[in-house]
Amino acid sequence: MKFDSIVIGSGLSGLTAALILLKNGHRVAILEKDNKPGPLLRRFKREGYWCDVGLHYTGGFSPTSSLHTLFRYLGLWEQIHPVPMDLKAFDSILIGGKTFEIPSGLDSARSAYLNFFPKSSVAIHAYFDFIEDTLEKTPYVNFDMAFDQFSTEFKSDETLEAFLKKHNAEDEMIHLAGRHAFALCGIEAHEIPLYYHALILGPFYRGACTFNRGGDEILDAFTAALKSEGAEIFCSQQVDKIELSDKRTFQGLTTVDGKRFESGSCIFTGHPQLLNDMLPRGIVKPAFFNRLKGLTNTKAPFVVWLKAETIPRRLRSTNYYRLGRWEKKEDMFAVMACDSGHSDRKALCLISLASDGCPGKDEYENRTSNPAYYNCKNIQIKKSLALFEKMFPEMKGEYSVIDAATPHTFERYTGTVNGSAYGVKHISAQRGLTPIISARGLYLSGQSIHFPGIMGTIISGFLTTSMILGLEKLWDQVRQYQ
Amino acid sequence: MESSHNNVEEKVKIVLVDEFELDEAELSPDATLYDDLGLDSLDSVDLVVALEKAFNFKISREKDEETIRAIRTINDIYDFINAKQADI
Ligand SMILES: Cc1cc2nc3c(=O)[nH]c(=O)nc-3n(C[C@H](O)[C@H](O)[C@H](O)COP(=O)(O)OP(=O)(O)OC[C@H]3O[C@@H](n4cnc5c(N)ncnc54)[C@H](O)[C@@H]3O)c2cc1C
Repeated sequence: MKFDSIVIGSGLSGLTAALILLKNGHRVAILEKDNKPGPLLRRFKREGYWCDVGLHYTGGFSPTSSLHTLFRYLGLWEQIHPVPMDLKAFDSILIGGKTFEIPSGLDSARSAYLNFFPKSSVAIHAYFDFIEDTLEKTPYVNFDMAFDQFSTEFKSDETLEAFLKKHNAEDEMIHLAGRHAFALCGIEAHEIPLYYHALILGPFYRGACTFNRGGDEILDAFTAALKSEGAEIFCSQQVDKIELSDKRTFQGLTTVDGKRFESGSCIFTGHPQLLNDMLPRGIVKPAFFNRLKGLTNTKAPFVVWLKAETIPRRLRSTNYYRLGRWEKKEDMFAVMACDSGHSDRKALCLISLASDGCPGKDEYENRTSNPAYYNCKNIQIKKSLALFEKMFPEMKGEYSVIDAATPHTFERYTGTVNGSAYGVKHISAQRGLTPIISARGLYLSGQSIHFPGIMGTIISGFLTTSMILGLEKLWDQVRQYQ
Repeated sequence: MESSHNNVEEKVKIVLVDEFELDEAELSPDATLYDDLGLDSLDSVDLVVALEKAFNFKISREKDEETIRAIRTINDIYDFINAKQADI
């Protein structure tokens, strides 16, 4: 089968890229190994309760944000209904026996930090000034910028920790800002470049929202638009081998089922280390394979879903975090907001994210039939429930477990290496991959290439597509929807 | 001094042979990476990463970008590495 472009993977980056290409007249095929599009975004239903997976809340959807512009361009804005989280506290963080509530709005978030850490006021002002500056001056966060201002991107490798220390922040302030970001992108304060932190956290500070139907709401909007634009979506089609010519130009690919697809360009949105087995040796140089092998990943999540007849009011639109200390190799633990105010019953969702050095997927052994796997899984479930009951004592005896997902589950569903929550680590110590690699016509996109998270992967889809269509052209198209 | 220079040349050659499958016999100092050796601009980032690993230093996006872009021959690589090492 012949197409103008093939997109491998139907996560948010792939869906965004495919829709942009279609709007520009390409004939597009999307190949997804799972049996339905968007395995990470999609909710599932157990015992009458909807369970969220890869979308709980997000920044970037306020009416003045760049996603608003991008979604209007894509024709999706009318299809989605962002619901703001609690404006006074979208996240509530337990720290040193106290509770720190993060309100929506950069000014409010700044004040909250100042009230909580009065001794770190210099650092806090510098921190929020930097975030505001970054959001203002990063083109794809601010479509007001002219196309030729693209080169003003921040290039400094200074880490969040180094920056805050330089401004004499208290250790607790660094811990809080760092571990909160760790929850949202899987990278600790001593590793994450400040500008990168700003791009991920900034949109959350500006305003966090959720969707009544969770990831399904975004997914349904995308799939409907893709179908009406004529996309061909092939599910249960795992790409096995990518074919390149002797000149290292993309030619086509074959799936595990032996189907062959051809196209002029191809975007791979899966975890980039998967390319190790997909690209032809002898044509692609060992340097590229070694580079892939050397990449370090963010840690894997462990998720438990609970059903409960009634849910504490305070959990309606605030997430509760227990950050844990990375020095002690403690997990980050979160109880995600669970709005029961509409007709669909929603499961409570508990997420742990392992610190560096904590047991990862290997601990869960290789096969689900292995008793050690269940052992490990049960221990982790108990750990999560104990933390949950400590944070919400009123819930004792009021809930039951309906499902749990291990790092292994995430690897199986999305193919992300070792089940890593946010893909490849974006850190100063390793040179990240870009959409362009050493094979012509083959491009990369997704959380491992640009930024993790809902906003990051949508922007990634946009940025990668701009390499194919031309940045200036796409920029002009999108800016008309300001 | 002499021996450390030879060491640099040796290591760069190992990178080019092992990581880019080039023929050692063709690696004369004035051989151009793109025209003579058939590498292309798409290889440049992979080359930077391979050199960082081989010499255990970081090539900065801010400071070294211009110099990296100006590299044409194998000798340019030697010069770059030597300058970089003198810097450290
Ligand atoms: C538990 C969890 C909770 C999260 N919660 C949030 C949240 O609340 N807010 C937020 O902003 N972010 C959240 N994230 C992060 C966010 O979900 C991801 O960053 C984002 O969805 C990744 O999108 P992507 O397109 O890069 O990758 P993916 O969604 O992983 O898409 C890649 C796709 O490629 C497919 N694929 C891979 N290899 C092949 C192949 N060979 N052939 C065919 N198809 C292939 C995969 O099946 C997959 O569907 C969460 C992540 C996790 C794991």
